[in-house]
Amino acid sequence: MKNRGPLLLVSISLWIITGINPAAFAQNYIADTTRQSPKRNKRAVEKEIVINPLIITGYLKGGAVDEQIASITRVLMQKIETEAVTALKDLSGAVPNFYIPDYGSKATSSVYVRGLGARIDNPVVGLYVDGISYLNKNNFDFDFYDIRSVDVLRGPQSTLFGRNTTGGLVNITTLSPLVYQGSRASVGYGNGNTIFLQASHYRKLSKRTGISLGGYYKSSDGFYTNEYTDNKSDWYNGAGLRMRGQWVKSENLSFDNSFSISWVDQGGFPYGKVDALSGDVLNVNYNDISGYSRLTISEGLSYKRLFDKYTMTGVTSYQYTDDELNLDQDFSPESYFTLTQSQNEHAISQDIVFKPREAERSWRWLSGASAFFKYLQMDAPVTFKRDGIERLILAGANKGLSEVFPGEEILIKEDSFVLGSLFKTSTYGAAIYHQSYFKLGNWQLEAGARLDYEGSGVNYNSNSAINYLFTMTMSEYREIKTILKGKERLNYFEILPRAAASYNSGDIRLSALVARGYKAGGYNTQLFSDLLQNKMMLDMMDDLGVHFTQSGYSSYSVADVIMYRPEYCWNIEAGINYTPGSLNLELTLFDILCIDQQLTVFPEGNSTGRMMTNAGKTRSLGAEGSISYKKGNISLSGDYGYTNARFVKYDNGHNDFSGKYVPYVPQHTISAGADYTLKIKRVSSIADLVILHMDIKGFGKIYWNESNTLYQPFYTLLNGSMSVRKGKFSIDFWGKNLTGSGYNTFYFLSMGNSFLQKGKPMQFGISLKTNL
Amino acid sequence: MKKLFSLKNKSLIFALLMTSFFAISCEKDEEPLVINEDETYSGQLTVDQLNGTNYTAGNVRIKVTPSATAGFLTIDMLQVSFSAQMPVKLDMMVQNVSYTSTNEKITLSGNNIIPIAMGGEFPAYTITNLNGEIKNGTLTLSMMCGSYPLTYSGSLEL
Repeated sequence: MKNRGPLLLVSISLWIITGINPAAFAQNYIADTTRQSPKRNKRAVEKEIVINPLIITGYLKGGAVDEQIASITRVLMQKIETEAVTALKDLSGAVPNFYIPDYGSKATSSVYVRGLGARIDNPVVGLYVDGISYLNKNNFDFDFYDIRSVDVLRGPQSTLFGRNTTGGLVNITTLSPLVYQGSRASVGYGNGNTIFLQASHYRKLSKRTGISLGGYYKSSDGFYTNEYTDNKSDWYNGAGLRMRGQWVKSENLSFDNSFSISWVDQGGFPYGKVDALSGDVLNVNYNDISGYSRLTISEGLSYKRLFDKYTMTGVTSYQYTDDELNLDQDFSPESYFTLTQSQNEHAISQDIVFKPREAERSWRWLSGASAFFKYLQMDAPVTFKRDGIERLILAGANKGLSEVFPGEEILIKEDSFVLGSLFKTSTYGAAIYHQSYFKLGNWQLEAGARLDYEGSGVNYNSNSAINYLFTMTMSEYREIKTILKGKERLNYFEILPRAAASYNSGDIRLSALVARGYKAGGYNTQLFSDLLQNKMMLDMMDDLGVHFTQSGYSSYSVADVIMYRPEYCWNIEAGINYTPGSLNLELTLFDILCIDQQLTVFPEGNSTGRMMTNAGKTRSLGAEGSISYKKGNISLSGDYGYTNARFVKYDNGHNDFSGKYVPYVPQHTISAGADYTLKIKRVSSIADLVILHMDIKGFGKIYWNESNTLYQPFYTLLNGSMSVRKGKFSIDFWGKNLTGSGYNTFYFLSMGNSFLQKGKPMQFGISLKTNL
Repeated sequence: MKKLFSLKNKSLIFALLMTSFFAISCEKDEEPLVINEDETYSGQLTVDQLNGTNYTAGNVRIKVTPSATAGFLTIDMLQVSFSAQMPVKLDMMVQNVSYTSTNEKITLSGNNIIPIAMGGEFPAYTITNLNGEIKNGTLTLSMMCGSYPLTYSGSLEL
């Protein structure tokens, strides 16, 4: 166990010695600077700061949040801090039908929106941070600090944003040095020996130039004990640095550069085996090292140019990802097999948008072009250890032989051997798009389309070598080498239309839209260890001159199974927004049909592996509602999402799951919160302001498997915080899952055994903050 | 020179050429048959199950390859099974089968040959009393495979 007590003491001492003033942010919130319509800005609780329109404060192609006809939830800094939101997954439930289960590691960002989701490969939600497109899902889970706003757009956003946005889009904006100037620092400590340190400085170098530098460090011993090692399995260390520079060069030209680097090194994967008899989730108990480490570097340059009649906005970004995932694949004390997956990716993207400058015209439009390229080199060797060799490989091979030759068997000399897999994948795309906005009295109409091309290629090289012996006929071990080597290509064009209409009669706005989205195709790289294992057994049997007739191993074509095509979704939704007085009420109904859905199936033949293919069709119906109310010192909010997502067609080769609920999708998400702000009128030496917050979040029912026999019932989590603020200092007490609800966040089946990850227990902590 | 091409001499030369031609023709007709590399036959395998029943398998492929040593060949029985209960098919190689060849047929014979299967010698299926012939593109075999009588008849794959 790491002792971080001294570090905490040093941090607190520094805070006291330097006199850094941990100020309340409540009276100087970093506001939503996106222009809002006069009527609908009641939704925004924060004070608006009017700034120079040249400052690039975000990158919403669709325009101001409140002007878009879309289902958008905007979460601002006040809420992020009050609710101790430390990562994107903490917004689960706060955004209706938005759910990111907290399991595995920071590599496993499975985002579910409106019944759509993906556990592996391409996500259903796009992510932008300060305009930088995060093309690799492994980077989605990063530590939040100095986040100004998070906009979550639900439903397909492919017309403007292209690939992998069938479920929606998340647009994160960090603090801008031209909007806020000062220093911020915080130090926090929580149970699980969790430490968080953060400091940042924002300043204007001139009237037109601002820079910022911020960084953080976080560590935790974790919450789940691995019985095998008697240590916590989910320990965590993370650190990051962000620099931002903004420069308004002239009346017509401005730049915004954001650079960040982050590092993560963690344990993780605290999966417990489900006792087959009692159904209880046993403690985490595995012997091989499991963990995840990642280095991410992001660089993005945004620029805005005003021409006489047009505005041009562009973003050029680069992201480098170097990560390594280690897994005890069997999650048991036995030595079956392990995976080490190292990825090294370079991704660049370019986006450019033109809009007319006259914003008040009845016809406005937006035209743009985008392109991206990424190169991924992935080395993913699977190491079979002795138990795995005996029970997963030899048991199958010897089963048939022992029936014919009792007492005879195949032996493998190695105590362990590696199924090596190296992949080099290039993915590239280009698109042009246009969207028009018509304003006719109280009506607003939108129509747009995108022509999108995407291509990719993979070079694969998998190989392995073992020495084997058949006791009946061989006196010496014989080496057998197996190689799978080749390349595949994938190309496709997409047309992605969108149409929307709204009617605004003051307090009430009615809207409807239809849009098409797509999720990119890809390659079944995770299948290669199975393909290679299968081929190795076939090669060994061929070498022996033995051919199975009824069971055992059969081959399948690599070309047939390696690729899967894009999936498509049509989303139809209708909504109403009602804003009388201090109340804001939103209700949306949606109907999504997903075709060519990328689902996991068993390949033809007798393979033991599973692969992604375009096997299904899913329909997702649902509703979303949001309500907020603010009166005096009290503000209330509630968000509810209902999803009924079922397979219309899904036959995995063994079973037909048509009509069943889509697994891992919560049928209900609920969030209800209340804030009470107590302003101390008398001069007090203790506090100027006290903010109390309490919220309850609920999720479920969540089916764990396609046959819908296993599920997580609906569960709730009670969270709360209290912030005491004096001058520029504040001290925050916070807690999550205060009632210690027991629930599970993830289920999977491995080698016939069921595994679940329990949800985190009660968490609580204290944070000291300043805002100079 | 002139005398050499006299009518008498021309008749003699013609007679010699004709004699040579027929002699060559006769030599070719009487040349013993040869076995080409990797000649593969497809046909029916029958195994006496020693219980009053026979196990018969169709489309069984057998490859015949001449050995480096003259007068011997190798028989490769490809993916064969010897009973319906056998869950696997085996490749079995029978080496050092002696053969003699005439212009009409090739006669095969062998005894006490331990076949090669499953990576090594396979004494359980020791071949005895192997007899067979290749004639007019047809391979026929009879042998004892272990204690099981086995017969085969197959045609040359084109």
